[in-house]
Amino acid sequence: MANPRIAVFARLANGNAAPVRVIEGGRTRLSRTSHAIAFDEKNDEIVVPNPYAEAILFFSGNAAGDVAPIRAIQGARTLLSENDELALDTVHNEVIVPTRQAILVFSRLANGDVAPVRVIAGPKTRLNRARGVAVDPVNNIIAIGNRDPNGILIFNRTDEGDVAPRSVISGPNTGIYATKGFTINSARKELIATVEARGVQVSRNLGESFVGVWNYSDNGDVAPKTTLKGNATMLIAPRGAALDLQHQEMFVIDKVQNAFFTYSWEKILERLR
Amino acid sequence: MRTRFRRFLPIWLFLLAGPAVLFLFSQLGVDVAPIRGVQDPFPVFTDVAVDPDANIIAVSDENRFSLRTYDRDLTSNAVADPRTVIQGNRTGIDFVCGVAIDPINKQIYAVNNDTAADMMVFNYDANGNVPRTRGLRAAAATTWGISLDLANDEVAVTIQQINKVSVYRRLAEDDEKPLRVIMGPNTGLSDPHGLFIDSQNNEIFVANHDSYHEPSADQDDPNSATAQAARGLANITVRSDRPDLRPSKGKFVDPSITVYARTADGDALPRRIIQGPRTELSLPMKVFVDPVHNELFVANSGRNSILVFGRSGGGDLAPIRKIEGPATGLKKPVGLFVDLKNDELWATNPEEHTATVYRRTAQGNVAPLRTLRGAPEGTPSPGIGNPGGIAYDPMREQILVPN
Repeated sequence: MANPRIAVFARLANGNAAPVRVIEGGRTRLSRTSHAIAFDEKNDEIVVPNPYAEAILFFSGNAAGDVAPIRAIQGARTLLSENDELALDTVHNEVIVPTRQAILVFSRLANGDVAPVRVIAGPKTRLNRARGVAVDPVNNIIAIGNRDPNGILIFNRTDEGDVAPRSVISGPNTGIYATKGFTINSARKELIATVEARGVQVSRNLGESFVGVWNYSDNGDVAPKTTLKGNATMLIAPRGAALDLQHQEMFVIDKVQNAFFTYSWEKILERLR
Repeated sequence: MRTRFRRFLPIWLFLLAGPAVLFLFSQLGVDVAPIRGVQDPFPVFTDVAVDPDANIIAVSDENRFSLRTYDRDLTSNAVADPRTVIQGNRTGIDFVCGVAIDPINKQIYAVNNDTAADMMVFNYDANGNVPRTRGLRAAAATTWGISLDLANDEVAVTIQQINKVSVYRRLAEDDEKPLRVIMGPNTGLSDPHGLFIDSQNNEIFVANHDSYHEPSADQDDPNSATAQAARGLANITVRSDRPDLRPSKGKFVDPSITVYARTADGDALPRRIIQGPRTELSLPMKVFVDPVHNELFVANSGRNSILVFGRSGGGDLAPIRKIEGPATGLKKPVGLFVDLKNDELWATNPEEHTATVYRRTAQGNVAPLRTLRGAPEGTPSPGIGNPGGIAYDPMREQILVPN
């Protein structure tokens, strides 16, 4: 609850289930506002931000209990600030970290006070109060939620400096009030974004927020090609999302429900066929 | 007539287009139920405050978003029946953390940690989905601790994300500005949690975790874009400035209890600091000062313990006693209250759905005198609180959730 931690649940966990293990305690250096987490299947590592210490923490994939991170990116040269989210590129060994006004790219193996290898920032980028990030290392894009313009900015993965996004998904047809989290389906070149509806954190209305699917090639005022939306979904304020393509499932975490839900990805795809 | 229709045709088309787009958008959706979900249906007790004369305790519940009162002297081991449950979208109670009680004016104070990080005040008899008696917008997000100073008619809150203590008039409302703030690099504040105003000795105690950074102007803006979005404003005002990237000042520090003059203001140095390996401090949450016996109590979440220090102590000092061990029922304790009238110590254990009661002078591996339960004994707890991220580990077929 108020305790900073990473809880690990069995894929088939259901109901009021306890985690199978928990990473928690003073040695972990976790704070309570990690709004993102990435699992590195290739190197069996967990990556999580600690914005209150302006740090990026790496743990072994099987970490449990009060364990110290195996690496931490932190220090003056990192330029980290309000870094509560991140995405991981295991192909190019990079960690992508948005601040509110910039995208910082670090080597995955960076440790200590290390400068980013690339920075996307400046007025041409249109980055402003960014929230949520995803990277596709195969199709070479970085997607990021943005407040002004309100929507999704898509950059080339290797962009650097003050560059314009290659596309901007924004406008009334998108249905976006506030983007919160992303995952991707690289094979289908699809961006999956959680979108919070206006006022749901106060009203707690079911079925107004949604998970939307856009193509990487979308640009402008484009409606999502499909959405997971409605009272049956149980979603109030969705945040992060993750895909398990082996079992054709999607996991979505919900801030107001204090819960995560598992959906049939196949059922969502049926709408796209 | 026809001319007028033509003239207004573009306006009609514009007005009709909005609802049509919304209708088409709603038809795109897949409204399917989740095949599985992990959620705790029970309240968890976060913080606790006691009015011994009224024989009630007030607890905050950050899982189901409620503020509850119970009889102080309940002795049953079954799930306790609350006297009142304040819960629902009219209450403003959200991810609620700190709670304080005003036995003179018969009111309960609570602060939300997220969404609308407001301080809310309810009368003792408030029950159900009822609006608060008054509210104060203290920060954009992450208010955590709250302490009442009835002697000086003030109330103080901690704000985690900007390392700040704000002190207000007790009756402050809405957007009223604080009387004083403690904030800045000299204060030693780092991810502050619980606080206590000791009006008898004119001091403020603050529990600090181990994460430090220097906050941006955005974070110290109660009406930041994030805060506006959380409140559901239709037209969100976004600052147009794009601050330059600057060297990060984030660092890890040892957890601490910092002590200030009660009237400290600005970038104030603490009078003394309890910090170091002998203190055993680890993720300290609520703090409580007993001015009668000159003791400081700390809910020491990181070590499943309650630590007791001399009130005037400082430096790397060992606790004078502690409650710790498997018999205590303590698990990641967060809330704390010393009931001097009944010589009792209360602690909350969110992951156990319990509040446990001990003799004030208890030490070691002692069983609680009583246990207040929000769920049947042994009920598991997912422990998911205000989550933002999720990841999947396909190797182990496991789902990872940070708080």
